[in-house]
Amino acid sequence: MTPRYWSIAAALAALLVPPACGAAEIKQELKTSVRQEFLSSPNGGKPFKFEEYQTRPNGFVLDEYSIDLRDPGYILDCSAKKTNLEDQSYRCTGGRPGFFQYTASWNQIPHLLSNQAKTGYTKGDGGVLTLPVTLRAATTVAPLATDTAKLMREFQSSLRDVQLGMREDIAAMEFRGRLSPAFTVTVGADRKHKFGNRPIGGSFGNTGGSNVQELPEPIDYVSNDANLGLDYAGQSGQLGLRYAYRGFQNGIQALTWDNPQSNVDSYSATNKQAAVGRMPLAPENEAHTVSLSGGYSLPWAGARVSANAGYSHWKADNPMYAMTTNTALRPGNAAGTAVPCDLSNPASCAYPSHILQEMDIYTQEFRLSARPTHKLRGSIAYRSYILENASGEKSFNGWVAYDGGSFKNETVSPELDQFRKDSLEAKADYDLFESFSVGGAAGVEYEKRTREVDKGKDYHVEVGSTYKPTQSLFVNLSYLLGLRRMNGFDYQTYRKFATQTAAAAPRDVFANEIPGMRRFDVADRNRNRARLQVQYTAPNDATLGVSILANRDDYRAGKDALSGNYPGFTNTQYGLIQNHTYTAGLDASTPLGDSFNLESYYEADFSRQLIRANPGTGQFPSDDIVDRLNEFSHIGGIALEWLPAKLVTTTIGYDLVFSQLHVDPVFNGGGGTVVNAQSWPTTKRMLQRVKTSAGYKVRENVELTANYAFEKFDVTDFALDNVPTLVQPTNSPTNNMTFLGASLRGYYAHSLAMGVRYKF
Amino acid sequence: MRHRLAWSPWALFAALVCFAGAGYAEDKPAGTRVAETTPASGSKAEFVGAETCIGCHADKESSFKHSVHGLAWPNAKGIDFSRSCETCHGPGSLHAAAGGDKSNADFFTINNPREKKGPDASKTCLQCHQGGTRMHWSGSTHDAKNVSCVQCHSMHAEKVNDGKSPMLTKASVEQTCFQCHADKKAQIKKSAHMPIGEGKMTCTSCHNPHGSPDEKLMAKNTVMETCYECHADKRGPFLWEHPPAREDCRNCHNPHGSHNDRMLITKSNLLCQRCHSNANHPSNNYDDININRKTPQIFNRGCVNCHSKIHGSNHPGGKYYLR
Repeated sequence: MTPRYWSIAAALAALLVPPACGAAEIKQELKTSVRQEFLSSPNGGKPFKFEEYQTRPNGFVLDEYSIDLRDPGYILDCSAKKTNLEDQSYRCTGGRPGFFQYTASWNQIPHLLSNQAKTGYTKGDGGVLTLPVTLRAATTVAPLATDTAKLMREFQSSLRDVQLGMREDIAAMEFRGRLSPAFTVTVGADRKHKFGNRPIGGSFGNTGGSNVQELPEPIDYVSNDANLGLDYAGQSGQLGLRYAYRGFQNGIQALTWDNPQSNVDSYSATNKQAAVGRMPLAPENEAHTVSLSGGYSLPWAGARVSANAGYSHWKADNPMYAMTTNTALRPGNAAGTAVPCDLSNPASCAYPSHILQEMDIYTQEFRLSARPTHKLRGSIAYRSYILENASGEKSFNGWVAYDGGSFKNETVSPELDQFRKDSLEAKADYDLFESFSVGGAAGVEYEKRTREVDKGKDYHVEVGSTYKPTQSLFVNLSYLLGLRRMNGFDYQTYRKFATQTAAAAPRDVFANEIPGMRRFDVADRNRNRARLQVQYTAPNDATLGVSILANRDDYRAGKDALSGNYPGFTNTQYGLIQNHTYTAGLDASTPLGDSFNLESYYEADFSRQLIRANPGTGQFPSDDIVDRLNEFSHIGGIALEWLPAKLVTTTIGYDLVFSQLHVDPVFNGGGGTVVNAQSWPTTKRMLQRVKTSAGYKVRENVELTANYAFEKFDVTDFALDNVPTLVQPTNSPTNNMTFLGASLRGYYAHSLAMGVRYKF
Repeated sequence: MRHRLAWSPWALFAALVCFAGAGYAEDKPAGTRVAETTPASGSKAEFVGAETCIGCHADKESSFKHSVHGLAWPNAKGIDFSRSCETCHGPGSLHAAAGGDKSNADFFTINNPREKKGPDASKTCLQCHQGGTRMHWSGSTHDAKNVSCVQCHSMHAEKVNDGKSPMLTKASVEQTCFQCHADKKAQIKKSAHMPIGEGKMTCTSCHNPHGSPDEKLMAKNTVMETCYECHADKRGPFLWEHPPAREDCRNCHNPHGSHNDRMLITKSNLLCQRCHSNANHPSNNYDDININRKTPQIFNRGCVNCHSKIHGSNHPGGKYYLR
């Protein structure tokens, strides 16, 4: 917490100090501990993170201090947690009950991604990542310039540690006060600052496909948010007006990085290199949202109408970077060597210096609910979500996918994607008996978008029953049938298809959006979903919760020929064609005798997906492979609490989180080439945790505590458990991929803490 | 393609309010009515005051006096402690006279929300709490399933949460929600998850269990608006939008937790191949051969090793999200 924020907090506290603390009841509590940890990695090397918020420093920790002041005229409730750790937080809530209430808080949220990454880049101002001068010079000096393997070994020798992770600091305050018995005003503001590094791909793609360079992207985000609300609450009618401002600023608007394989720009048929790559990072933006909500209880049939209307305007006005940093290229000329197109020389650019993007979002909801009889209740609701891209039309002559190769001397025009969704749903529930009710719902959702399939409808019918014989038992069972039926391809208005002519023409006009591709989110879909929820509390306070969900989504091609009647394309649906998920969760607790409590939970997940893919590079769907993806998860835990005496508390718990993913080809079909495909190695992750704690009350207000935790993480993942800093695929040895080496590693850890809990 | 707003529901809403409003002489501020009960016997229950109540329910006195209700009512509504109990529970003379005899029908003349079904149980609370974030409670998923206020909240909060707002029946927001949503309890323990277990977020950071305009009870008007509260860098708008990402974050992410990096709903390259499966390298079947070769599309972060601006790009050459 910076001094600036401390001063703000102190000023706030001074302003809101209780007017008369003398008569107040004050409770204070302090929790402290001394901690010692031991971490290790089974495979050697630096151990990965223990718990989410990194390893903690051994030694003294102020776990929590809280003060709770209660006075008939004022309340104040403050706490400070983990003040000497990175995930520290502070919060104060206070006010005069019934008149006003305020909350002020400071919260630090660290998120470690990897503590063993390495990079050869040095971070400069403005998101510039540079390599050592000696290495840069070597890229043009023989023999390194022509021997990329040696060059990469040089690159490896320059690596040093970089921590990948971010921290978000959030300062927030909110004030809510009653202007009159019926009117309440709410004012809130927060400031979020996220900073650190995270991995990002910066491919040059200039030789052998894609020369991946994984980079440590510096993060410096600031968000300033403000909220204003005015509520009216009457007996029969309520109204709420809200305004929200969201402002996002990015301290690093572009990433510029050296190419480890070249420090010269060139562009020719045989040599396509860029010395430096550049990409714009997250655009600065702001959003204004106004929403009006209202509800009115009608004088008949227990009816109530409620409505909400919202409007948001999003705006992003950011620098427009030139198509490339490659000085051997300039707009419209693949081999030009003249003035580079850059912001430093805007006259040479075909692009505007800034780019303004805007969106308007409209949301509406209307609901009429009623309980005409004690047994019957129902509602009808209409919802609408409209995303209107209000940015102006733009087009560019010539573009470069990555700063090295793939210059395209063609005009590109970003599509102004629009989207709307309207839904109408009617629900009714009827109590057949005092303890048993049945219900049903039917609805239709209309979708319209600027996509290859422009519109469609999603119908659903749901039936269910609720059994609630007592307050201690609740059983809910439901089944849903959903049928999504979309239009055929919108060849006329979908501009991305407009330049698609014949089979002989380039077929990858826009991100492979060619006829024959129907994505799962715009494909026809049959959905079957069943859900069971049970909650039971026994007279002895034992509880049982059961939650089961089965969902089967089957996708199909739907209307019209998927091929668009172009020669060479098939009518086969590609991509996701089946997605089945089954989840069962159990939560149970029970007292065992007078001094034991047992708690347990378990969830089993199973997911099966079928994905139809192609057998090889550049091939079109005359042959295909259907991959089957099976994913199992078992997550469970059991904890035993022992209260042998009034002053002693002991708990021991065990948690297990296990998942397994397997992918194998189940069908080679389509005709044509005989295809051999091999299964993936099974990936597994398992986290086991044992936690024990004991507490002994020396006095009514003093408790000694001891905590021990053991945590073990095992991982087998072909993609992530061993990421080297240099990879040269065996089938493409000139494709030099440099990674940060941020592997997902197994570890085990012991942690012991002894503490005191003291109530003043 | 321009979209048009639907005005007919607004007109219907206004007509209903105007028509119904004519039946009300005056719309009083909330919370000025006192709960009423119908006596089971012929005699009418009368108010007896809190002193009578604590004769049997002494354990409730201290906790209530220190609760938000106990502190706020005298200031805000002029209801002192002596009238507090019967403000919610109704006149208690017959109940008190029954002397704890449950065979006497008068014992049950007291209004006890915990013994009632959903809408009847919530009716007491909604007399004051129907505005603000509860505006859309009626007809919401929880209301339709007869979930009542007292299944999550305890007016007499001494049992839990040390009497602090929001007076839950369980020790935390998460434990309260997990009573029914047991599957979510496990999901947040998966290796990629939001920091709920670490205490930095709660279910109510995203959801409004009291009802909302969104069908998933989102705290904001839409799912996207909710996600951008923390992930403002993804809001854009971008020059090159990735339509599935713009339409709904859940097309690719599971916000409750996943075993895949970045809470993806499935492993990276297969996630992309759910859609990109028709031509050139996105469509390749990446199998064990590619894994052994460490082909970039299936190694490390998969497709986003190169397509790093997958949420959208502001680069003139960003149509493949490489820059």
